[in-house]
Amino acid sequence: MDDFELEIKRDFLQEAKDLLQSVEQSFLELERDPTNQELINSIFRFAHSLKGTSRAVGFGQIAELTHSAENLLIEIKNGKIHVTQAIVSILLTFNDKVSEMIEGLVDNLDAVFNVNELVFELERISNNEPPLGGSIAVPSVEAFPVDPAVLMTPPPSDDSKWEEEEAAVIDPQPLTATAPVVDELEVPVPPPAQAAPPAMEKAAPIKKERKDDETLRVSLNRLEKLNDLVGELVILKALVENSLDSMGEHKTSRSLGKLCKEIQDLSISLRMVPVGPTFQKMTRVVRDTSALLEKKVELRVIGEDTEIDKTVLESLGDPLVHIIRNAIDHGVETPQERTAAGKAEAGVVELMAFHEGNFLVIQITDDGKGIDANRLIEKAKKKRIIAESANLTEQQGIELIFHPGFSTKDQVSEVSGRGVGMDVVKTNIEALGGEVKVRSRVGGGSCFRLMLPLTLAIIEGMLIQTGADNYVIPKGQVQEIIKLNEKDITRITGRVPYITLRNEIIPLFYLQGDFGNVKRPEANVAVIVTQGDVTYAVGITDVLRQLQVVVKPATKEMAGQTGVMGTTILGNGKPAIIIDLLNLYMKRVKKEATGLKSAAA
Amino acid sequence: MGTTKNHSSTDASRFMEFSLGGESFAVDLLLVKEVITPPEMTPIPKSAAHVSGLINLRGLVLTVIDARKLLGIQPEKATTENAVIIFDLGERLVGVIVDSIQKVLHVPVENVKPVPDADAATPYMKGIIQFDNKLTMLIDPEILLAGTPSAKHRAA
Repeated sequence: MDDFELEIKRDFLQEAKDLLQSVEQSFLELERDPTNQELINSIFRFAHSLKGTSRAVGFGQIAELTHSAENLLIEIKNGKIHVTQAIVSILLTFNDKVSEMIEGLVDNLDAVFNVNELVFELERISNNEPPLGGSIAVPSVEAFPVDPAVLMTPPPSDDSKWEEEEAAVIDPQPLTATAPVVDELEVPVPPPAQAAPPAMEKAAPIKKERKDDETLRVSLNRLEKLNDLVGELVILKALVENSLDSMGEHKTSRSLGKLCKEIQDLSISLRMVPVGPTFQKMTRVVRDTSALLEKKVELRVIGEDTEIDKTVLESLGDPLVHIIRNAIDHGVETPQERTAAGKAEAGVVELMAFHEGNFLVIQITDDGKGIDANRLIEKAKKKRIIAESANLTEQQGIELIFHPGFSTKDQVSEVSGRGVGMDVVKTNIEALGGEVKVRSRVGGGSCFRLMLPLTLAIIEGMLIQTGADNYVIPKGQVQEIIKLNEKDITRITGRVPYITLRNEIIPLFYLQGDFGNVKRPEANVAVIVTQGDVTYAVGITDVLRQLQVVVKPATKEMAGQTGVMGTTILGNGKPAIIIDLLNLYMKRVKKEATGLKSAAA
Repeated sequence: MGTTKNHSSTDASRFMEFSLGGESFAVDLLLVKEVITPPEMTPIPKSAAHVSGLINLRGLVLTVIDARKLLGIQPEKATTENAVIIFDLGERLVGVIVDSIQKVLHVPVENVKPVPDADAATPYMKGIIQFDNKLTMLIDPEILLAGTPSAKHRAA
């Protein structure tokens, strides 16, 4: 295979992957709005071009499979077959199969797949033959009720849609100002304005075509390189500014400063992508999960244009899927239960993204039955996760769901509840420097709030001094800073010393000794770090100042060194190590904590 | 650097020659990204003695290794001749401090001799360059630096 052929094949796979993702949304949209001719046309166009291109680049199996899907779509287009949930299911199966094939081809361009069953099934349905009920699982749930309001909404003309799109692009953070801040969760009342999602809002493939014209694929490596260089530019700028100022060139110096700031902001923003595509994938999760559980669930998505660092977004998919599945499985009741409780038959899961300070908040709210703290506590005691005598508040009870190996559903279900889950979600989010919070009310529903740093590339840090060395620590890990007097330190031979902070006994570690080779470490100041229910103090020489730092990877030679989060370059151009205090001390603290309690008792 | 006489470039290789404690060493020139004067370095705590620290190379943070300490050669006093060779080892860049850079050698392939068996214990020795009535140790920086994790705990 020559280079050219290889290249067009790779290009095709990448493009097809993106297209499949957006067409999946169209399939789901079709389920809600089965008579939308424009939508059907756009899906048909997609299938047609997929067939043509895949054949042209030499992926005959994709072409063959798409050909039979296209046949089915022709029948739908001509009104001979009506769109039902079963039809959408088979189309989604087709979509999954092609995605799977593309993944396989990315790894091995000569991969061969078994498409016969699906081709057969597609052909059979196209010919309007009754289903055999064989290999292809079509969830036997009655079709989702189609909201009459949706059907009656006249599809907006193409022009108005473009305007909407443009507006969204011009205003980069439309949600920052208006996003509701739900700290205390009341009963999650769905905003009435959102009741009928306009069907045309997400004619994804059509929009996509236009967007693609205006974007350019750039490798993340090159962006990172750009960020590095811009960082250097900013350091040099500081020097140049000084000499310009001393020469009396204040105006030039100011212009230079402004320009550099703008370039820096821009280069950072290049890594930011909207959460929309990730949110859209959840539509499918909701559909499949609710169909499987025979529940009716409506997904509402708010704030799709909110932007976040690409690397953060990538690690967000799995936690989101998990929380949403949980919300449907454990939260939302069956239609019968809901009717009995005086709720609407269909449950609502709301997925909302907005900015709050330097964080992106993603809130997953359901209006299901909520989390029964008492049941959780009871269960935790039975499982000996907590002591029989433990006296937990309701909130503490709710937070037991994050405990490893905890599953509340009495029967382990296919969807969620394998006992691994929420604790993994919590760990994953915390690994990103984020936080998970949960609020819930029995009968009222639950709300999971994920707070994520907008970017992993820049963090708020503190420049600290310990001995002769300077380090950066992430500000997020610092609970408070206290002055350390020798008389407040209690030393026990063979143990870590401890201090008493507001009647709480906490271990004290010396950074100089643990992240250095100093035998007799000293400290004037202690940084208090809290993680979960563990608190400890880290003794350092001084806190110099707060600063924003660009996080760079640790060098390969430092790999595996405990407590290193990364490196950065300070304003004076010198490299500095960013210390992860949690990583450095967590294991030791846990060991000490048990010892301290017995020592104090 | 005029050492290329009598040889066409097709059957010759180029090496960078540098000195450590009075001895001559050479590395494949293609692995050298650049040579800089030693900048100020940030020490890495808990690192081995041969790790000098971190430097900022135009926005990239790199580790610098002291080749003299790594090879157990008595370091000479710091002079203005001291240099840091930045090696591009594919997946990473590493800096190595040397006493001084000598020259670029343009050597016919047949002048690069295999290492005598007696030196098999030092796998980073790739060969011996016989040139201008002088022997120069050819070092493979990839092997030399791969076997030297900077953090003590890994060496332990």
